[in-house]
Amino acid sequence: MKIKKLLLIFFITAAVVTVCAFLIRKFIRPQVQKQTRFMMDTLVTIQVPGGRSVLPAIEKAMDRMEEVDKKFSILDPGSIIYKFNNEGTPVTDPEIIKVMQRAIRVSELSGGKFDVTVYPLMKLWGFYATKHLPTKEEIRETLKIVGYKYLVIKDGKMTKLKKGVGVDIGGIAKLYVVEEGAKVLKKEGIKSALMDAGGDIYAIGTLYGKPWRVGIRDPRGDGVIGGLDVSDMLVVSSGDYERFFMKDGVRYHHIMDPFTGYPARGLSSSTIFCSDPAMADGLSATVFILGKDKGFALAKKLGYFEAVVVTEDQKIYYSEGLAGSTTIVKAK
Amino acid sequence: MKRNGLYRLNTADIVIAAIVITVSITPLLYSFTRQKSAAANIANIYQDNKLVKQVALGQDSVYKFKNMEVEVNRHRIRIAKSDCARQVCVNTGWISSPAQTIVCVPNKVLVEIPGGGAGQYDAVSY
Repeated sequence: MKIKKLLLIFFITAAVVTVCAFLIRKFIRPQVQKQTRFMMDTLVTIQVPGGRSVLPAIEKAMDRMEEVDKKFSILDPGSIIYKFNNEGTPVTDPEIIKVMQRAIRVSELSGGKFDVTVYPLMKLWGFYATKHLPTKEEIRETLKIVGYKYLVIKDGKMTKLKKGVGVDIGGIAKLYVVEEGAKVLKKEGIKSALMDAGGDIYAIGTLYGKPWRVGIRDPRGDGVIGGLDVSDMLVVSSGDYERFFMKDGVRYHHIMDPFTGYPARGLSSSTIFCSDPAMADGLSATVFILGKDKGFALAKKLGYFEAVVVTEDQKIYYSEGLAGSTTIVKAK
Repeated sequence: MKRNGLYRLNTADIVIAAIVITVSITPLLYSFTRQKSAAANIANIYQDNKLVKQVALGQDSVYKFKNMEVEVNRHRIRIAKSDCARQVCVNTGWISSPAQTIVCVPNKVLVEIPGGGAGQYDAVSY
């Protein structure tokens, strides 16, 4: 009898322990606060590990991001950039000048393949309104007013050398907005956060000691191609799958090659990993336009970013610094 | 009830043992099945930051609201129709992995497959 009783007690104890462990795992998960807000023509999400006490910090970061975002609008007729593009009004706002200097730096690094002055091309192709295929003649004419060298920044003032020149600063400003939001979070004492501005991710710190796990979208499928565990890292993608139209079986997307006036060919998506928000601007688009080999060569030369690309035939390639990395998490 | 020795169990013992074993194993099995199917069980549809609908991804369906149409097919979800000008949400196509989202800015609509669980992605870059 004694042995039976002991056995019974043993089983019951084991069962209670298992159930408790399960309940703890399921219901007492580490807390993460999450807030979302529509801005920058997309949705911004900030996740911060912790209790509700971190919410005011998230709100403050969002407020700052909204403030910066408004300044960088290119479609709002009252905005500084709209006036520069359409009326030629010089830009003197220090924040815009700072971001423009970064854009020009990337233009130079990419040998002009990345160009912040593709605004007239984007407009011609209808990427701000109704998309359509322009004629070769129209493209040739428009290319005459595309070129970052038509921009002059001197003594804190930006002017243009040719009428009709305009800047599309949206993509670059997005990272600046994230950077400003991150500054607020840090100032508020937040050490870990995951910021997501329409797929541009900034992973700060860790999720209770573990790196954040960030996936990369499959450009043609419905899921992800894989991902990386990252900490204090930006993960930014450019792809041909969001803003595009199909005509006669050909995909025309919004990432323009400023040399041809047509969408850049060769890749379906490019994703860059960079730890410095001030250096990450424009890099994913640059790699996309340069293509796999030249893009990876640039990553190697500069040394401060790595890249994953998916070619048009849907093959995945990693830049040298990522190849052999054990942190790549394969989804399939 | 006659007891013949130490190892002879009566009905009550067997019932108790069965209950104990079931209770011990169920959570384990449950957590295994959850991990397997964690890929996609539900999707949340938000408008203006408010949850308007939670749809099961295991069941093919079409959900219409305002000027949009959300379609679920084979554990995937997409915005099939929208009256917005640039159609970014429709062009996003199907999503099926946790932490993936579809956003329609003009309609302030977010379709999200919740993520962030064990082994899942915390966010997806696109």
